Amino acid sequence: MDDPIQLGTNFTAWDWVIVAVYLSGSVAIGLYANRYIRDMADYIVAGRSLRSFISIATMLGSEVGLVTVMYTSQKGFTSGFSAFHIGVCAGIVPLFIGLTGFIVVPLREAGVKTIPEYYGQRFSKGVRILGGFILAAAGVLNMGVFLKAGAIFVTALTGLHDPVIVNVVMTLLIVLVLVYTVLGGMVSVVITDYIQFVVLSVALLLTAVFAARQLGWEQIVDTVETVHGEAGFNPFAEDGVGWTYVLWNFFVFGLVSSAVWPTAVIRACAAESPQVVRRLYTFSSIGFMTRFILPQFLGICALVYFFQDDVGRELFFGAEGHVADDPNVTLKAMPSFLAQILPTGAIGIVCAGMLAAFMSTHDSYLLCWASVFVEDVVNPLMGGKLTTRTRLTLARVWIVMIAVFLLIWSLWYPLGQDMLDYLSVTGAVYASGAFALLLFGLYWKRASSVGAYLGLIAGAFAVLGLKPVQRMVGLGELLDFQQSVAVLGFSSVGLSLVLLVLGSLLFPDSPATRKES
Amino acid sequence: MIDGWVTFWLCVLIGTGIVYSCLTIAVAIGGFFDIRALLRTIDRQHEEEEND
Repeated sequence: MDDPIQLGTNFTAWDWVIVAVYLSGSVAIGLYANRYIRDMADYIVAGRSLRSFISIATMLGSEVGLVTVMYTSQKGFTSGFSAFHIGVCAGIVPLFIGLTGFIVVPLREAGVKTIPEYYGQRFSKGVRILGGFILAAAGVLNMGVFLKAGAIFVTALTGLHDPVIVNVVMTLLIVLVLVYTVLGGMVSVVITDYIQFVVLSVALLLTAVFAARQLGWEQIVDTVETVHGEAGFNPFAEDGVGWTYVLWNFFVFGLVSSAVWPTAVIRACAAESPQVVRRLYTFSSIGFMTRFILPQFLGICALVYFFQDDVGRELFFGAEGHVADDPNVTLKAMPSFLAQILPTGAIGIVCAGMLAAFMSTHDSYLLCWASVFVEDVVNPLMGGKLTTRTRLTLARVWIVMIAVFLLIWSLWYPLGQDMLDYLSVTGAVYASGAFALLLFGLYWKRASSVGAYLGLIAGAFAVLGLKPVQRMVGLGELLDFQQSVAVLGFSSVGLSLVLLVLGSLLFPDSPATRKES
Repeated sequence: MIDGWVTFWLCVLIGTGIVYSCLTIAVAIGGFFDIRALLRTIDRQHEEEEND
């Protein structure tokens, strides 16, 4: 079926040329980096040789991607300025981590490449395998909607509305990512992340300034007030998102995404020293904040632009002027807005930057989940006897298998909620247990393996926050949806913490086990 | 009540834009030199491994 939302675009053949040249360059760099890969340390953590600036670039290059821009702009569209609270949370927590070294410095000092490897070092091999499995499963699930976001972006920005062509473009993109991730590993990821960080940052900043100048601040404020009322500015207003949701975002997009989420933590593990880790987090806090604030502002600009436009109003708003309920529709608002206001040439650069960022997020995530699966599940199960060559081959095979899964899941899964909420829930499946294990593993000597198992399993209950799962178990009618994401999320975190403590007190590790750990 | 929030979010938006612009310039320049150092370090590590 053709896409019903067709608003026209300034995207021309020249813009396609810009996109093709830029993406070809990225792949060429990835292929060049292959000559630097000799062992697993080169492949996963670039030989642990990353200095401050490049660490910041690569962390932000993978964390500020097309998917981030899509789901955060959607939140700006659906919640107005009150969505900015997520950016503020996402900035404050990494700054705190950078200043104190909370979680990430002891992890870097442990000398591990992945978080489950730390579980193995601190608890037991079994905890490492279970933690690795939950992490890889939740991570791949989390990535499951990335291609959907990419497809919606390409459709809306370029005016390609034939679904077959869109699927071909997305498949081509994932194949390009596979080529340079499979061959180049972390070294190619680092170099391409750097280029993509610079291009995307400049594109984001200039686009935000351009959009603000086009619409005018007063018109932006007035329209947000008309559509959302006080809740469009005050997250704690009566009909706003509420305290629980704000606190949940503080936990997920502040603490988890910077100190527990492996694609961010792997940068800390790859850093040259603990001092670099602190500097990395202190300065990256600006980027963590910006990756929400600027795209959310673009989402707000899209809201204002389409509210004033008759066709846009019909497509993106209900009869009473409320924002449309369908998340697949609201996701299209920001790219449709860019397609309308950006001139030819500029739109090509923005598209190239966004698609390159899309690829950079994919390469980091693919590399991360594949290395966790090989290093923390398969290799320990085989008694740690796999050779470097076998592990590299397995990691590459696993990357290809995840890519195939992503293609299938993107087509099949009914989103049913804001993409940001989907990502926070799937992230929490892993993060609830991981937070408990890292917190008590690093800072409480009595944390035991049994407690760790219980903590990990309890965290998986966060999956109840997914709307299709809630419908399946009949939870959807019991709780207001947006609150239920937060309530169920906090419940799984609390359960993980409580069970880990109880399990550790009731079943402490034997002195021999502790010594072995 | 809304006016206070509008002012606050405007400050957040402008502050973010300015600080992020500075960060982008610093990382663009510093990152270039860090990549050169990274590739040299990996080359050196490989040479040392071969010598061992």
